[in-house]
Amino acid sequence: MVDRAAADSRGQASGEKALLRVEDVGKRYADGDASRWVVRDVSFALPAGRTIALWGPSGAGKTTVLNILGGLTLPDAGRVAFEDGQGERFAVSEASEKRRTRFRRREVGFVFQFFNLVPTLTVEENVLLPVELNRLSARREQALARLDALGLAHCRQRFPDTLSGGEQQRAAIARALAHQPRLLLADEPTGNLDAANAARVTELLWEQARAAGCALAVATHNEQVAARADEVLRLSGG
Amino acid sequence: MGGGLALLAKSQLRYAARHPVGSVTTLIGVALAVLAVTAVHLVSESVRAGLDAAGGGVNWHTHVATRPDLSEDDYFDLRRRWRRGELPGVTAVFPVVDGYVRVGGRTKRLLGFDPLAGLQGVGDSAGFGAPGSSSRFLLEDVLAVDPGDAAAVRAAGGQVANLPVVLEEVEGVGVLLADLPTAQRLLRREGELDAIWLQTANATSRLVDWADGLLPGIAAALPDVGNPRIDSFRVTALAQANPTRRFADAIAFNLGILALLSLLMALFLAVQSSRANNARRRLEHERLRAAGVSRAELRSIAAAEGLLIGGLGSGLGLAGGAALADALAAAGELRPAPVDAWVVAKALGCGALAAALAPLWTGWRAGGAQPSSRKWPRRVLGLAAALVLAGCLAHAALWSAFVALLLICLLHVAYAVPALAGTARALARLFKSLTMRANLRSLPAAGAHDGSEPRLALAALSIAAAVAIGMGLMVESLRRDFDAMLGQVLWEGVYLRDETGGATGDLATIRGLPGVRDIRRYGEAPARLAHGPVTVRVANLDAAEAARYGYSRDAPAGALLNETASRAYDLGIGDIAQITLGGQRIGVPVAYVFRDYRAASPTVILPLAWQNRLLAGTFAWQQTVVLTEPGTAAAVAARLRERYPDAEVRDHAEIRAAASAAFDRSFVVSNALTAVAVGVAVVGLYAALTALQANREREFRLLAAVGHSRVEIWRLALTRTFALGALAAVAAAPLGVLIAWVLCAFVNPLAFGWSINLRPVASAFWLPLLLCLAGALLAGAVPSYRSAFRSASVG
Repeated sequence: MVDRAAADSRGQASGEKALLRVEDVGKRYADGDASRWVVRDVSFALPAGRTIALWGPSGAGKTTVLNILGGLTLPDAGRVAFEDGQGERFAVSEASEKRRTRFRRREVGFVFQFFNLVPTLTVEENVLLPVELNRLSARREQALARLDALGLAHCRQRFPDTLSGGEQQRAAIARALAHQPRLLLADEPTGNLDAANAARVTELLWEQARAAGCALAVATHNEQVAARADEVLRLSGG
Repeated sequence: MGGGLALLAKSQLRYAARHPVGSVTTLIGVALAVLAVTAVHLVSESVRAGLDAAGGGVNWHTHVATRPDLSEDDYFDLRRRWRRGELPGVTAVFPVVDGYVRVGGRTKRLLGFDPLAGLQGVGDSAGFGAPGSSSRFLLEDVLAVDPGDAAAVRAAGGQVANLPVVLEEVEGVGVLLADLPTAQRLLRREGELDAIWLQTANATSRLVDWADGLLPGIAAALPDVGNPRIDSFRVTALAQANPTRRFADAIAFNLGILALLSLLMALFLAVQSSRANNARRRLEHERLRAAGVSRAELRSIAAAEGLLIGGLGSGLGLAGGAALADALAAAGELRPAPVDAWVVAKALGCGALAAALAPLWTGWRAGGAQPSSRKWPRRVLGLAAALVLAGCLAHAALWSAFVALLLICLLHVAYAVPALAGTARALARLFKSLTMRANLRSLPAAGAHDGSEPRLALAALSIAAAVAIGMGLMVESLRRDFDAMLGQVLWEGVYLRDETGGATGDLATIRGLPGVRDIRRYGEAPARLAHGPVTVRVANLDAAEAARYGYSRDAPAGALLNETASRAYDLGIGDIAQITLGGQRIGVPVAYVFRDYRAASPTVILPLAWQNRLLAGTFAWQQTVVLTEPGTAAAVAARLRERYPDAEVRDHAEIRAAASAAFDRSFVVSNALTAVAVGVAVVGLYAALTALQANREREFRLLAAVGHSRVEIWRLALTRTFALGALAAVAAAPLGVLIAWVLCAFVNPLAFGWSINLRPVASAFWLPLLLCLAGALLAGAVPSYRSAFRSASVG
């Protein structure tokens, strides 16, 4: 179920062109012989530079929606379309695995609640991974500069397991934005952090997304985090 | 490689370095498997080279064409057809005649052929030189008599002196090679032929040769594939036409299959290691996929790591296999086969591929759709496999017998092991001990989503143990039959062989020696039976002599055939065996078919009365058995040695001991290969248990928190590994009996022409089962200890 609780649909109201358009998306999972809708009838439009919070309790389907937006999971109902920048619409929900992978690689940055970094790569290598995957060597310095801006200059050559939770999340934000994606997806980015670190990470996430000019979708059960978003979509499960 | 992939590769290598168990076990498994494959290949090559040399080095033909009453006219007709291009794929034809002559006072085998006939398409590379171009007639390693030399040759009962022969003797073998007219004259068989040798080069033959290079001896399992078809002729591949070569090929093939078993175990191990890696890195892979890394890229990185580990393992295995092959060749007094580019490519290829394919396969499985929960596809597949299995056993071919063995193992992995584990899980409630219940319930049953890794290891261990049981049962059964046969054949007495004829011409004197009870003489000659070669032995086949071959009635009226001859020429009791010898053909009724584990070639025992109907002078009467009074054989043997220093004199008791020792020696390699397979399976179990215990650390922490001591937790973990070993052992026992049955009832008769009475010998079971249990305990002890103590300290 979807409730547009803080529905400040400024994107649509102001007539801004939607970067991401979600229409009546639903997903169900097998439950024994029957199936159960985890999310149903989710619709919204997200213009570039705007933020949306998918807010709800555990099990409401927030992660499922984020995975559908990023093309990690296909919906069982509805469609998701992405404006590819050249005026072409990319139907995320109908594309092949190969095209969705390419879409994620180029256009999407992900930040998760935990285990964000590849443990066998240093912090610097983690941040450079999306740059290298996209063969964007011109953006290497910029990506590393962001790492410094996030206060991680001293951690560059360290492995993730030697970092604190807050440092890991900051490194994750740096990595998610390293290839300058147009869509940033964050799944409970502060769920694993104490209040002080959570506030700092949230601040940085918004700040970096705004600076990069990308759209941000955050799945959270934290009201304070949700309150920062331009739009809040309240999910309560199928 | 792009920068992104380079980073991923770096990550993969760091992961392998941080979690070395999987990589190291895969490395060990691949190294052992490649060692087995390489050693079998090189030893097979050594044996073949030895056989080819023993056959006179005349190995440049690939097929033998025969027909009843073969004459030179048939050959000329065939050659005309060949020159007209009517025999596609045939590049050379040679007429051949074969027989025995006496030369230099000794009886020698003489092989006559026309070397000029096959000049087209046959070059020096095949070891062949035209007579006029060299003073040497044929081959290297030949003790030469120069062309034109006179040699005193006695053949076909008469003296033929001062013949300008072209005659050569192969060193140490005693086979004489002569040009066709000379041989025909020496054998008094002008105008007659025994066979026409062919050299072929068609695509199918090349394919069979290539397959034979990959799996030595496989040609023995594919007897008719690639043979050219010629009207009114029966064409047989060299490997089939030459009984000794066929026997050696069958051994090589059986050993090759055992080596493949090690490779299969290594593949199991690589798959298991790869699955453990996938399970441990599942979350990391999900994150990477979110970052835009495709499944194919993840798989290719894992496969590259597999290639690296496989390459290293193959290198180690190649070196070890070459050293082992050298040692085995030295022990068998064979010339070591060279480690050529083909062997290196085969070793590196199979090792690296096994290690690289595993991550590709597991990655593909992990990335694919969820398996269906419906049971019918599984049941239909099982039923189909069972039907194919029945068809393979009914087909009665060597290759189908091995396909049947493979299917039995697959059915075991897919159905028997999970069902057994499921039963054990269901029985858990019968136990009072909660820890025992927990252990039994953690066994990998069918459908258990967390059980695939240990299930794989369990299946590998049980198959390896079952093969050890099957081989053990077969060998023990064969040993008992072999012992019974020796007891039957080897009367108390002395074997005497004298090529000069001195002893055999002095029978009255021998009969007068103290302790001598009777004397039996045996004549021998190479002949043709139906379409192929056969050794004809002539004996005074009275009731006592016939009893040596297991014939229990009065003196037989017909011939006795060994099993090899019976199977090769499809002859049974009451059939008429058409024997061609010295240009004459007689039809002899088959009175009995006897087991003959000593002979690799078809043999016919002919009553003395029939000899006169064949060319009597063709037989070489070199063998005599001197029967002795009880306890006097050694003394009689000593007297005979003293009297006839040039003769071969052997006490039958000595022959029996030597035969038993040779029997044991011949199974050393197969025992070693089985042990390697069991070893690789135990290493695999170690890897699986390490991963499994790591997964259980959370459970152990909980147990520590509720008051279990470290030792109690270790005991719990160890009990589980013991339960796995016990399950593997229980699963292995019936499978072992099934494998032994297929080996005794199908593989041995088809490969060697031997049938074996399968006996459930207890000693064949206990060692593999003990190894299974001990291996499981050993494999589980260290991982269990580590995880139990680490968890307890954390908890």
